[in-house]
Amino acid sequence: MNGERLTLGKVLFAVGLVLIMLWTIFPLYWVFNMSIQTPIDVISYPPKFVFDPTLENYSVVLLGKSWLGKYETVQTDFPRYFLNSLIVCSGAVILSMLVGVPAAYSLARYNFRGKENFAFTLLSFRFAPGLIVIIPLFIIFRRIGFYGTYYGMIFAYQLLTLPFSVWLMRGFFEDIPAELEHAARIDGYSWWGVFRKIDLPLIAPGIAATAILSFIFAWNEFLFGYILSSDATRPVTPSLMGFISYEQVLWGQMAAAAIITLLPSVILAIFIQRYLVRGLTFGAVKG
Amino acid sequence: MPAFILTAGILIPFGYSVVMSFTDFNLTSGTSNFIGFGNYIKLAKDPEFWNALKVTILFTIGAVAIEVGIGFVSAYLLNLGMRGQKIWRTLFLLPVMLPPAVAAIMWKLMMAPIQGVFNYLLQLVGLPGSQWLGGSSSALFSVILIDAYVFMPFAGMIFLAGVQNLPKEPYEAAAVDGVSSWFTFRRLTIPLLKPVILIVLLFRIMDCLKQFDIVYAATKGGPASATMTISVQAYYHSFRWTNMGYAFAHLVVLWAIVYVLSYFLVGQWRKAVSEVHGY
Repeated sequence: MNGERLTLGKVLFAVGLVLIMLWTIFPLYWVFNMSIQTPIDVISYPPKFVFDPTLENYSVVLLGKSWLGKYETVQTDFPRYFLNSLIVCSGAVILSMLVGVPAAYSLARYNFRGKENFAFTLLSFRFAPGLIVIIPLFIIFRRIGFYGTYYGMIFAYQLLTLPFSVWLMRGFFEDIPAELEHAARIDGYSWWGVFRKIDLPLIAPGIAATAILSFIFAWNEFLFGYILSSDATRPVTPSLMGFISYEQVLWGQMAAAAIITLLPSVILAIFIQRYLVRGLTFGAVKG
Repeated sequence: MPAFILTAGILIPFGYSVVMSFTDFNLTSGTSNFIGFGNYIKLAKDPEFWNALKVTILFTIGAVAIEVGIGFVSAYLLNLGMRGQKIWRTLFLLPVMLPPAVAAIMWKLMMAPIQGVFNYLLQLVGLPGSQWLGGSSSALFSVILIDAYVFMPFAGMIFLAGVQNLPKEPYEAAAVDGVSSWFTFRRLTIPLLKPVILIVLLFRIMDCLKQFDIVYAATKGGPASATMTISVQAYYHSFRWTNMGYAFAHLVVLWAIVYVLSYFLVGQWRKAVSEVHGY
């Protein structure tokens, strides 16, 4: 009796697990599949699970039509968009780290007036509708000539990554017992010495994880880039919309572009898996 | 502190939005006159706004229900010991890290009515295909599905972390007392997980209410207004019809809803955390 129930449970468990894995993996598998099919295979019906793979879509997306000259493609300047994303996201992350580490430290260690209000304000940005910030930025940027520049973009993206970084790193600093610092101070270290020798080594993994998560958020951002960039500074995620009007013909290339765009986020995320729960909940749940 | 200056970068546009929502600011003509609550009165009488509100709420309820439901089941499954646990978990959470707009485009490819793989699979098991994003009745469900695809693992992952942090003692006591497992689940697991559940609700409800990326990348609000959320509607008012003041009124209302709800949920969460630690 008991044994039977156990096997039934096992079967249900296996079925459930397979269904959930299909849910999360199948779309990725399928789009990858499309990205390595020829234009004829990709629109064939029934869809092909077995076919001769080709890297043509990737080379077309990455190198453009002029190089291959085989069939129609959109001139998207995909590599430049990719580079734009790299510039803007790294800029925003570096800026948020430079400003965010001291801010997080002081939020964790010192009491000052309005501290909790400041902290909650940071959090509430996470929940504000993006357009409420983006449209005024768009208007202001146009007026002061920031529209479509890397500086403007980095400033805008930083609005996204800085509150997040401060909030998350504050939690990491609070994990370090203040007694440790006091002990070091008594041993004769200066404040700066304590920060450098005690806090920084302990928090380094936390800072790295925060920086990577910020980078992913910036990379995944769509709306800021879509509205505030000019064609020359457009990041890669919003640039994908450029393929949409041609989707009927260019499925394989769209799939390839989508795969290239999501790759950096996914790879980085795997590295910092341990911090994902904590990062995605702004430190509310320590996974 | 420089952090204050940089966050002022948010507060200024924010205040700008609120102020401008009381004007008839138009980007094309460049004029703006103070019109008091004019935009808000117009909003209250605008059937398109009420439609957008309805779509936004339906979208939120649908997506959050699926994410929490399936997320909970998957957390339960992933928590049971098995071979290759680490790999399963990694594969499980991949969608969370996709750019939502890219995920929407991926699904759009798969949901194509004629050559799409979904209709093919449906047909294989003898079900009729669907128009998916192109059908006025199926479009909302389709975008809900995309949101659920991306964020179900988010819920699952956080539930999993919650389940793994559950204290052992109460369960041992329950086992000694011979309580049924359903009773343990209802009276012990659910209350202990309450903070985690509230966090998932908080993040998912807020994100769904302001959802833009997925809806815009998948349908641009169409067909007709079947998936026109408030955010997308505000986008059209501002960048298509350059009616900035009116767009700001949309956003301020949306923000007010989000703020009140998040205030309430954060309060509930704080309460739940202190209750659990009182155990």
